[in-house]
Amino acid sequence: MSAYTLDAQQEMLADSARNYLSRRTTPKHDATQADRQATESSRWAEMASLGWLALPVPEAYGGLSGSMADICALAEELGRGVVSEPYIASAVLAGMLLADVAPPSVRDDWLPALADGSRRLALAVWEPGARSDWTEVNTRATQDGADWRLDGNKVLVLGGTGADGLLVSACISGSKDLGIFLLPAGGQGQRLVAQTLFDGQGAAELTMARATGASLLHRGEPSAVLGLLEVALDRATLTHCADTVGAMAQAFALTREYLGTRSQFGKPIAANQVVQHRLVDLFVEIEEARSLMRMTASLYADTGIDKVAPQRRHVAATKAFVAQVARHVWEESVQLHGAIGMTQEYEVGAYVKRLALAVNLYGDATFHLERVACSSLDSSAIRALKVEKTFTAHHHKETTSAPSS
Amino acid sequence: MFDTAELSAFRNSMRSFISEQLPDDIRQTVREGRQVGLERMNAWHGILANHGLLIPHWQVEWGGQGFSVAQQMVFDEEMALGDAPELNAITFDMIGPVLQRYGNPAQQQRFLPDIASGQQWWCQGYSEPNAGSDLASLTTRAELVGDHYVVTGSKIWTSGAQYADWMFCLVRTDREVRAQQGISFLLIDMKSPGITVRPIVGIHGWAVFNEVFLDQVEVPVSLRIGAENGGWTIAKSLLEFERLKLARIGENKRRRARALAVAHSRREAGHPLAERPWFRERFAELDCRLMALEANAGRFIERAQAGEPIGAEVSMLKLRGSRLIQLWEELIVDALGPEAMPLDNDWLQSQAGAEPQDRIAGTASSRRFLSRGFTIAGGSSEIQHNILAKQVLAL
Repeated sequence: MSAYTLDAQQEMLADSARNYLSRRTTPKHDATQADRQATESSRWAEMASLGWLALPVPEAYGGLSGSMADICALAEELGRGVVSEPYIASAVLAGMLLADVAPPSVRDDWLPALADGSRRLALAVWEPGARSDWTEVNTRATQDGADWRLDGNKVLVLGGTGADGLLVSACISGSKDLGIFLLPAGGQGQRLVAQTLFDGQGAAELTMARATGASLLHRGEPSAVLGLLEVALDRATLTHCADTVGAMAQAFALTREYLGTRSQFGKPIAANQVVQHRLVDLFVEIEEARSLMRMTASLYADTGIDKVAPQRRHVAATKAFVAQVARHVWEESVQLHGAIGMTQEYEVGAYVKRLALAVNLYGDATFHLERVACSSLDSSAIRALKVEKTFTAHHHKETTSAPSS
Repeated sequence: MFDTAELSAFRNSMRSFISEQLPDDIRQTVREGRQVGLERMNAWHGILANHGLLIPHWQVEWGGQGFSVAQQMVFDEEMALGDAPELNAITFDMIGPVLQRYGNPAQQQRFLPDIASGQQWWCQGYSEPNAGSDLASLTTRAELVGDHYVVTGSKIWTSGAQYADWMFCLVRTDREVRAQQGISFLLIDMKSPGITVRPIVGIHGWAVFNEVFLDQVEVPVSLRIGAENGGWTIAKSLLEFERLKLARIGENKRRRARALAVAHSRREAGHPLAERPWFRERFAELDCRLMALEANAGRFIERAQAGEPIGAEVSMLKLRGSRLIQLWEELIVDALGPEAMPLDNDWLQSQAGAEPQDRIAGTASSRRFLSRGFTIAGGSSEIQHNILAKQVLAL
């Protein structure tokens, strides 16, 4: 098995995705919320019919049981085609988490619906004022008979608008446990405010005040539940890296083409050595990013017991690296194009914005560098101590700031 | 690298070979980053040769082991991680393979067994005072007189010339044709009358390279490799040899291990450096770059294993691997701070009676200066950029 070259099936998947996406009109990144939602739902159905939504879903639930390498092969094309639908957020992040943690009845209910595109799911994991640190959970869940009530605020719910259900992380009142809840969209006590991110994709802010209707999918000690969330976020982070690699490759291709065509001082801009060397730097960094991303995806083929630590380390390194390269690529794409690179209507702008968002989405370079540092520099004793601190923090909140009901 | 089960078994066997067979004093000297010296290098070459591991990548008929590209990479990496000294690429990776590919049977018989024994050293007479990156403009002349050439000129930046037995050398045999077409490839005995070697001490403290003056040096025609005026093809192919090795993953890991040792042995503000945020961020950033380099090299290894040409694109490994070494060295110097400032040249060169210095700090600044050579030698980073721009991106 090759870690770096797509196999025949992945090649087919990537080709068909590229074909389909090149035929579809480029989404306008200044589209209104309503416009976007209308086109999104018809495109979601197309994505289902192409089998993309079934790719991450296990075969037993009507899916294709695709590997991370398969999913990443597709995601590269989604980035290249500036797809703004929440594929990663729904199918990879939330859908695969549900498959990991939900009891059988919930899986039976949801997974076939996710695979055929009839339902969408989103994960509400980040909270206000904590950067990308999803381990800080202030949302509370209180049991109320057979029902659960949720209180708290979540931000950056990717694909939250139009989702049929929301997976929510919350502290469980009266215990030290954390839980993962499934909250059907539109119930009482929840307010979902739609947002358009600067690259055109949709997200939402979720406010829960005695929100009703939530069911508990999984509960456990904070370290265990955070571990499950981390695995889910790592899969999405890696897939998002693949998406970013595809977008970087296309931004680079557009820039290179432009510089080869536009003449100044009587010769193509790309004939200047200073420009050539800068293009080479971008090219080399993108190639390294792709190699690292594919290598990391191939680690997921290993089902051994000790697979999680190397996966975590590699995903963190991949995202830290991709974030830095993405910033370099988008800034150079603007600079090397000149003023045309700053316009809303010129094609490269869509990539510039996507890459600028990618730098910070799912944690920026510093966030993931610290994770790499933990794996490279900390002894297991220090690592255990850091988890202990997380425990204490949750316990502390529980005892001092439990909301009155 | 992405090890298969087979490769990982191979890695383990190489690791235990090195830990069992490498003499302790050499291991210690290398760990400190000091010079091992010719005598001890020859002893280590002997041990490797006895186990068939000095030239495992050579053709089997000349004593090679038929190592795959991936095995070679793993072996190099384990040598670096096991604190074995870096082997002389000019001797084992350059002239050896050139003789196997372009030498005639007499030349092969004469030199290959000696090189394979590990007791003969070579240097590379390429650069000249006015021909560095622009190698084809070299002017050292060779005039054919009867059955020998008379060579006059000078070479510079010739690493190891002060102790080399032989030099392979590019000389101009025709001044009337285009620069690249008038060059021949000669093997020159360094004991020949007319050769003067002037060591050049580097900013790192010792003479790593030399200036070599050739004054009417007689070289038998039988020591020309390939056709007269056909030297450029050989020189170019030589630059392509072992290009995967130029990722220098093992050499990067060697330095990573030193940075790690500093992280756990030095303190700041009451904490080990390993816990200081600035150090963690910089270390992790280099770690990510190393993982990316390794993954990228894996892509080319896969290509080479499949028998596909690796192409000019592989220049990116040299470009990135050489720069990364410098970044590790800089991190080590910064992490040590004032400790890295004193420099004892006698100790660096393993002179008898030298005052012992700190094992990591004592060589840090010297190594940092020496590492600047990685982005200059073997086609500078600017040349690698040009190669990628022209041959890969077609700019």
